Amino acid sequence: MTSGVLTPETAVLDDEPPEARCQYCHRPFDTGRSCALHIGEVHSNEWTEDEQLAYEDAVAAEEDELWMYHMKIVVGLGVTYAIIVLIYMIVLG
Amino acid sequence: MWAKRRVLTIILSTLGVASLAQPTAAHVGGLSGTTTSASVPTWLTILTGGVIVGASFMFTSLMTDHTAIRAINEWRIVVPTPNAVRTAIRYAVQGTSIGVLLVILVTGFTGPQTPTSNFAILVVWAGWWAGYTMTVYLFGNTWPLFNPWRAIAELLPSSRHRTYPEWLGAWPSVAALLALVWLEVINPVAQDSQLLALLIIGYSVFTLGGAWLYGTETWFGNVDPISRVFRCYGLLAPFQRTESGFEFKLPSAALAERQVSERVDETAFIIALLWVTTYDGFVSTPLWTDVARPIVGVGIPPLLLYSLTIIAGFGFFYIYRFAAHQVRQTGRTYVTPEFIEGWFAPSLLPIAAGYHIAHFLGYFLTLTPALLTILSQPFSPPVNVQVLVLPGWFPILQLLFVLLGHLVAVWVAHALAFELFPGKLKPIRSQYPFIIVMIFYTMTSMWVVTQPFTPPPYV
Repeated sequence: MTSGVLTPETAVLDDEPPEARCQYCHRPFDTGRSCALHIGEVHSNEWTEDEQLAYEDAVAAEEDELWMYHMKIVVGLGVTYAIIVLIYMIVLG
Repeated sequence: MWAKRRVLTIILSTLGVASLAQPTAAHVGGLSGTTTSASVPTWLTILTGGVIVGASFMFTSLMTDHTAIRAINEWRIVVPTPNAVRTAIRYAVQGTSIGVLLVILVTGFTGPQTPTSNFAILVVWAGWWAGYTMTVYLFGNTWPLFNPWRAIAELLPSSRHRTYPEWLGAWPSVAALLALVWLEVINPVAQDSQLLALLIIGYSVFTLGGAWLYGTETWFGNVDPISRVFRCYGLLAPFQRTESGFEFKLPSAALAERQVSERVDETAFIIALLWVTTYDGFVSTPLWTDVARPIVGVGIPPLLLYSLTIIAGFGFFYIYRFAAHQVRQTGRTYVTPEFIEGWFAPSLLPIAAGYHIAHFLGYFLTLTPALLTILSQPFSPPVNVQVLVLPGWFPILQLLFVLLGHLVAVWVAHALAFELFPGKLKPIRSQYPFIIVMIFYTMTSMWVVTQPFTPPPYV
């Protein structure tokens, strides 16, 4: 919270140990990708070259997944809109 | 605290629900004529509201550019304010607000009993609680400047400072807010000016005594519920106070920039602020009357029932807390639930403000002519009070305000999630539990707003 870097309170339960931890703020993450993204977003002024590469890979991998996710969202919005129009047609028609 | 009895007579015409006769409605103006006859059934209106909140989440999830989100929330214009100007304004305003407080007390005890020609009733409910509160979230938090009790407390000697117990935090203000609203529901303080004046005296003694014991800053910063309400609402406003003056930001952007997880007591206050608006509407629904009558019939005292309900409804805090626990799963994160609930708590404030404006804009506009007349002649009120008659489409505007509050909340939560969680998918997925809770809260509130006004029984 201070000095510009946000360090939220975290807690690790015994049955699900974190796969990665940020070497700068020790925040635990469920995957290496999350950790790489975090380092790129929060610690980009002190990161190593490897971490920079890992960040770029993570961003690219997430972009692919995000594209698929957004397709689902767009379809979902379309379906929701259609259902609502249909309900209004039935009720008011 | 919400002058519900007359306020809800304005809301009751929402969406073609026939209005019920209410004694004070006649003073407020010919409201029965404002009833609209829309052919959309209530359940469909409510469902549409829920769907719009859900769909708005889907829309915001398409906006994943972290830099763009930040740019929107960080945009600002600094407004320079010289110190001399500030000091001059401060003394002038504080003097005026102490004067107004005194006139409220005098007219409260000696003024006419008709609410719409009583200075105290009009200034407190229409002027201050409806109108002034709107300026706080639409313009900026000016309460530290206007607060007459603060001005008086600063003038009084402040000897014998006690240390405020750290662990109490905002809890006294949570209790005081619930108590004030409870008092407002069970007493006709929105019509009876003498009762209102007594309540103000009680509050003044409590506040000035507290400020004297614990110090002005500590009291108004921790305990005083009214100061905290305005501080919360002020976070929504475009004008924000900074160390060097003021800055102009996009509305609600200051919420997304908090970068702090609220303490549990502060979160509880935000939830209480949200709940009391719903509580006030809920006790005026026919459902409440239907539920309350058999319970009182069994032998439960009505006042106890009203107290238990306001405390039980505060249990929404646990629903919110449960949602925060679920975020750990959907967001696949190790951030503690306590941190999450405090982090997202400010995003609930636009919802509370949305209800406030839905409840009070009509009330305020209706009484504005009466308020302006009485401000010019507090001690000789006119016999015939003028009021505005609202157009028939006004109730639809109220539903839109409720909805707008939720949409802003979705946006603020989205921006806060992007600050807390890495990447783009995690912040979006983390929001699922909150969105589900928000959809249900929207639908519940829209249901309350569309219900015909029924005077709360037994009070």
